[in-house]
Amino acid sequence: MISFFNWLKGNAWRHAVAWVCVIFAVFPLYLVVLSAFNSSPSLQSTSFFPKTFVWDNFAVLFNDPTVPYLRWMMNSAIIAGSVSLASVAIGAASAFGFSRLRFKGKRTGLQALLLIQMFPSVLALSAIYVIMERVHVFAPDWGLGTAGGLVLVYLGGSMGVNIWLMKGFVDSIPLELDEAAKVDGASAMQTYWQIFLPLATPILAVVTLLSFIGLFNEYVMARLFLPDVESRTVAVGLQFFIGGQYNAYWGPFAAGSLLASIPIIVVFMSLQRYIIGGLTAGSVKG
Amino acid sequence: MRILKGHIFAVIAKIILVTLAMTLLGYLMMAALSTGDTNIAIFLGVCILLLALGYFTNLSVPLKFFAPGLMFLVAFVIVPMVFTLSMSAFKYQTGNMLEKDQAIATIEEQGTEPDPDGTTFDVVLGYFGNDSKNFAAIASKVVEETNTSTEPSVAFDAYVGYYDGDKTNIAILATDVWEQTKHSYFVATADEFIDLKANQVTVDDMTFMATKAPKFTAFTKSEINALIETSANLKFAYENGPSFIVVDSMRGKGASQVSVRDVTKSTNYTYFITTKDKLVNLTPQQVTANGQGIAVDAPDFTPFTDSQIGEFANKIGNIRLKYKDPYFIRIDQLPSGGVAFATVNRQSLDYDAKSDTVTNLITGIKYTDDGRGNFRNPDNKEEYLDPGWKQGIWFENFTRLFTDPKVREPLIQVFLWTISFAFLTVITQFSLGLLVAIAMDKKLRGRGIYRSLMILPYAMPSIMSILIWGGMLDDNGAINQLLGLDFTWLHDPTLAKVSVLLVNLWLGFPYFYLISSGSLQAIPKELAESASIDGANPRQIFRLITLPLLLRMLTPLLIASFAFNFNNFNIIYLLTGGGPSFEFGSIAGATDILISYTYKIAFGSTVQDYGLASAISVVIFIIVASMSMYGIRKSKVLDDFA
Repeated sequence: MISFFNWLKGNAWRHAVAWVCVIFAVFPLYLVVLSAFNSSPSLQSTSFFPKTFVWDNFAVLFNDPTVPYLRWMMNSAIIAGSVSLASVAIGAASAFGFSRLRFKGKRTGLQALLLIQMFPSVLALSAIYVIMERVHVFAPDWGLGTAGGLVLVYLGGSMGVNIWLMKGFVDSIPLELDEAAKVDGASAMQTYWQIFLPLATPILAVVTLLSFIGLFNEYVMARLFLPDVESRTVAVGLQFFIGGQYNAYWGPFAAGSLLASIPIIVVFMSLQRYIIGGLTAGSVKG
Repeated sequence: MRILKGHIFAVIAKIILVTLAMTLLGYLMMAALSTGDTNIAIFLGVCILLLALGYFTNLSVPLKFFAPGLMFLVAFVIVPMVFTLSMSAFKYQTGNMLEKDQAIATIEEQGTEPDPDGTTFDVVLGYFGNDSKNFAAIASKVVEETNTSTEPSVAFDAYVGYYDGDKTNIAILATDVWEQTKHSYFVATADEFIDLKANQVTVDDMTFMATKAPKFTAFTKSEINALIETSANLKFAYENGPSFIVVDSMRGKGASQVSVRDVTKSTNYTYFITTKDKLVNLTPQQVTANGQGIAVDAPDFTPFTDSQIGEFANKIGNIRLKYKDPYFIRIDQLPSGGVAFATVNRQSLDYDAKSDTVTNLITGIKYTDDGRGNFRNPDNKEEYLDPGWKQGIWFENFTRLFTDPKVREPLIQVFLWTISFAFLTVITQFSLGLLVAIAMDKKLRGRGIYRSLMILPYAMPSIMSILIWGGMLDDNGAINQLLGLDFTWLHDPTLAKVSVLLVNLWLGFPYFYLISSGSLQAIPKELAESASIDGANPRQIFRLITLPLLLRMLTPLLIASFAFNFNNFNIIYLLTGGGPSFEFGSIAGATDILISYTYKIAFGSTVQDYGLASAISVVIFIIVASMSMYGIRKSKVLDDFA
């Protein structure tokens, strides 16, 4: 009896906290799963336990010609994928530069980069809009209303965060390796390509992934840039199911969100150790 | 370690890549030049130069690393940012979006007045003579005229009564005593004309007049007397129209006299060709008209093809064609089925560059530049011309934040909520995260599963989870259902704030759980042990040792999180849209934070005020930047800069 009280004192409250938090964390996701397989259009069903199990909502996503869900997924994957790859490729060089090179104005540059990041990008929307409207006139594939244009804008926007994030990683790579290379007569460029990049590949992969998730979540610009049904990203496309003034179709929305989230959750879970390391290095998920 | 010094493949790859990039940029630069986007072309030129200097010379090693990133950063972040910030010094809002010369052009273009009759023409567009640049239109006006004779053509004697038992359905039973027409007897109501044969009516032997007919009932004398005053308004159908019968004199005794008014229709055709400076009248014989009598072709005139019209489509409203001075013809609607629609107007507003005034040619009022982006009537300050233009007003947008109560009052509330929202978010997220971290800071059965489930909110794409929470917190949503409540979570000011914090707690506590548990493990166990030997109880150890150490480690992250939530646009925008509004029609709402409020000011549906929004952006920028700089100082991230 005494040992039970001790156990309660020692561990029971820990389990209680865990249980409450797990329920809090999982409940909305449970509802999503429930709605995805439910035939009613509302988010909640009459009971919180599954009564029906239908694939109708998924059928809407794949069979309804007005809902090009696969296209949306493709669009999101292509846009977020190409931007995260390109921005890490470009940003890695700058991060290396900030971490390892000695040059005039480095401190100012880093501070400027930090300041620029502080500017709420939502507010530069109109300026970006005007610029891309002009670009569309002379380069129709890269302006407003095109995926190419959105990629360019994202690329610019993600540069600051990624450089800052990767600089933290580069800083953590021991200097001795660089110095050894220098002694062997390598230039900075050679050190970058042949020493730093091979070492940093796993880290770059994590930053790419974080960047991908961030872009996948972007809503405001995507909505402004891609008004055509066919060219929407999955977030914007699905939002239209529930953003209507009078009708909200939670079923297809839940089904679509579920499908879109699963790959991201799986990758996130499997790489969480690295991701969390990266996050503590000084960034907050957006 | 072997270093491939200037390996041949690396060099070739570099040359190919850089040349490709330069070619692409060069191509874009030429395209930009050809459309007159000089600024963009110059920027692209500088980029090409940077690439050449960076990769084909040894001028600067850092440039090799920074050139590509710098280009994107400048183009899509710094330039828009500087542009936005500079807008804070302008009156730049709905109605004041153009440059001054554009505004003047628009004022003059729109400053017209239709002629008093509202004359319109159907026009076919084309060109006059041999020059296809000589824009012209054939104008047609087909007017159908109806002439009603004032003199009677035929007169009848008739009894006035009503038809079909309905006393309001006034009718006449008429007899063609003098046999002037082929109708011997007939009954006529307002819209019916019934010819009758002799065998259908009862004829008076003395007068030869029909006195009775089927369904016709004659009025009594008193009924007639009541009608006499308004008898001039009575109209009866005659044959199949459009001619009609009026009552000439109504008598209570004996027959009344009625007569027919003939109505004839005729069509008048007006045709002319008009160009910018010439007007040629045409006779109907000179033109080729379509079924509706609209001229589609004429000598010396060549109609445009659809694609030629397409070239004019944008500026068609600006083209003015000759008509009787001071009036001109303007095409108001593009052709449908080949025929466009034109109106007759005259210039009412005229800009004079010398005095920089706009004069209303009709009223004579002179509008002067008010220095604030509009032409205004000096005698009546309320009256100004639309549109205005972007006008530099220095710091007025900033002073408005403090002096204009319509701006200041919501801004203060929004600002206070922004601070509370960011602060409470960090406190709640951190507290719950830390609590979980402490609870799980021990080997526990099922810890791995707990952990995996608990970080699900963090792994799920936040845009989707916010929208789902929005559905759950709906009036009929899952939360009310689950808890048996009847709360309007998103529509009550206080509950909406609670909702936003709750959802943000859900989104963010896993992150703080993860980093707190990491930090807890980093605190040396010896500290707690030695404190415990000194007689401290677990609560004291936590309060005096663990928490201070933890806070010290996590302060930079807490500040970063505060700065992030200060501008956490998505959760507000997607969950409540900033609402509920403070009062009906106000832009700001109870859950609006500065950034969502600013977004609504800049991109709102009714009035868009970029100038004011930019001024608020500058303020936000300064607040967040100084906060973050403080955080960075504290965390000493910048200390090891060489």
